[in-house]
Amino acid sequence: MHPCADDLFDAVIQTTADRLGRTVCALWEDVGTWLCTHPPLESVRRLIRFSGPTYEDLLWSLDEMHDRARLAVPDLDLPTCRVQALGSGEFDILVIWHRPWAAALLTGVLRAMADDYGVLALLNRADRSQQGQIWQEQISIILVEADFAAPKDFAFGAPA
Amino acid sequence: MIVAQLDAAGLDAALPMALVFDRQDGRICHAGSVLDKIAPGLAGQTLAEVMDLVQPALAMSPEVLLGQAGRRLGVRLRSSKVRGDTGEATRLRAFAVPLEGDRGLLALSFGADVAQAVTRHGLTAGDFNAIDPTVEILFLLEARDAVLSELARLSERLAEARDAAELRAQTDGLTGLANRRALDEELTRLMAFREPRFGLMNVDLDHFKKVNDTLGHAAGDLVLERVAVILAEEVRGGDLVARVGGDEFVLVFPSCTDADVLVRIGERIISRLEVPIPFGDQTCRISGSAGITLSTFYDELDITRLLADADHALYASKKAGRGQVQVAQPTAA
Repeated sequence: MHPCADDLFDAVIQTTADRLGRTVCALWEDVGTWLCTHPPLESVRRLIRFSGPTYEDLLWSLDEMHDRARLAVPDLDLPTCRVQALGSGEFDILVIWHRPWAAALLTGVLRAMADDYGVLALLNRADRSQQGQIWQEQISIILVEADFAAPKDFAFGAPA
Repeated sequence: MIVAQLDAAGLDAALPMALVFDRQDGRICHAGSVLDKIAPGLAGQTLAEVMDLVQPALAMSPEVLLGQAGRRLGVRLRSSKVRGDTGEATRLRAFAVPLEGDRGLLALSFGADVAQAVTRHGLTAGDFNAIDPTVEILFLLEARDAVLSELARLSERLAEARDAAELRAQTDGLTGLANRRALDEELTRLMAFREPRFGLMNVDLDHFKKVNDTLGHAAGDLVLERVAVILAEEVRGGDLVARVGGDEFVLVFPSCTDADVLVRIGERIISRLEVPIPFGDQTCRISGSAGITLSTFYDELDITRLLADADHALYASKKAGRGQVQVAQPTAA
């Protein structure tokens, strides 16, 4: 597509965060939410909904997110995720990427999609560590109620 | 060897788009759950009553189906339940497998129009089994559309940026007139005709330096903007006015090779240039000199020579006392 140099990108994000008086992480969460809720980006929300009929399906599908993105756009480099179920609706997601804000972005996405699926979920970002060029970040999720609200519409076949 | 036996629920879970038929009379004993959604009430009817074999185009019967066992077949459902008003018969891919107990299985699947078919029949994620690649195909089709529309948006933005850059590259920033590059392009365009016919006028401002020196650059810029307006107003729509230096302009008149007409235009321009221009409580006074040449003066056209001759005529005007127009006389030169 049209990749942007990392340092330029970081500078834009830092400046934006400063101007808005938000932390970089909070800004990335907002971006994640925006990706799934901004009406002109409806196609992004729909593609995420293809992950499965329930929010839990979506969480499990994060395991495949990196490969599924590649399937659609070969040079798209999304984070690799490892999903672990801890029982009683608790999940840990390990996010592995070469930049330090993937978990924040994904948290924003998962918060918005919880709304979309009509579930009540608590999300928290926990540990973060860096090994060389690679960042490992953890998101912990508690799925409190699977039928919290009516899910947003999703039917196969894009509205023309 | 029978490896396993499936009841209707098990079959639906594994192959929701398959049907099981009686090998003797072709009666359908079971229609899969998705199939039942597409065309309700298939069970109990015969194959020949509910669908046609279109590939190969043979009469539908259990023998024919099982005679083609394992091959890809095309069938068309006679009636199906559709959302909206697209009443077209649904075409499906199929293959037949003989079963134990005098039965046969017809496995069906959507063809290349899978996305439209799924929409038409109002199928949802719950209709497909959890690993059905149909869902993946639908995902990919939507991903493709999303990428294509993003690319289209990107290329539209690039086209806009290119147009803007092209315009900037051909326009003089201060006056909005054409620049040297646009002039060169226009002359090259005219020269490409078998018999180019055009007139050329060089215009130089007189006393402009004095305005700049005594009233400053702001006054100079104001004068240049005013000059640009005058020049643009005195030429026809298809003519080109280019600013090629600080106070030097070249006017191109395609299809105009009447020296008298151009001289009159030049004189009118000069008389308007001589109208004083107020600048604050000061007044800017300039004039202009012009030199004209015509493509018809030459047996062989050479742009550089035409521009030089128009310049010669211009300097003759200056020498003769400024504020006037002269026509080049290349044959005498």
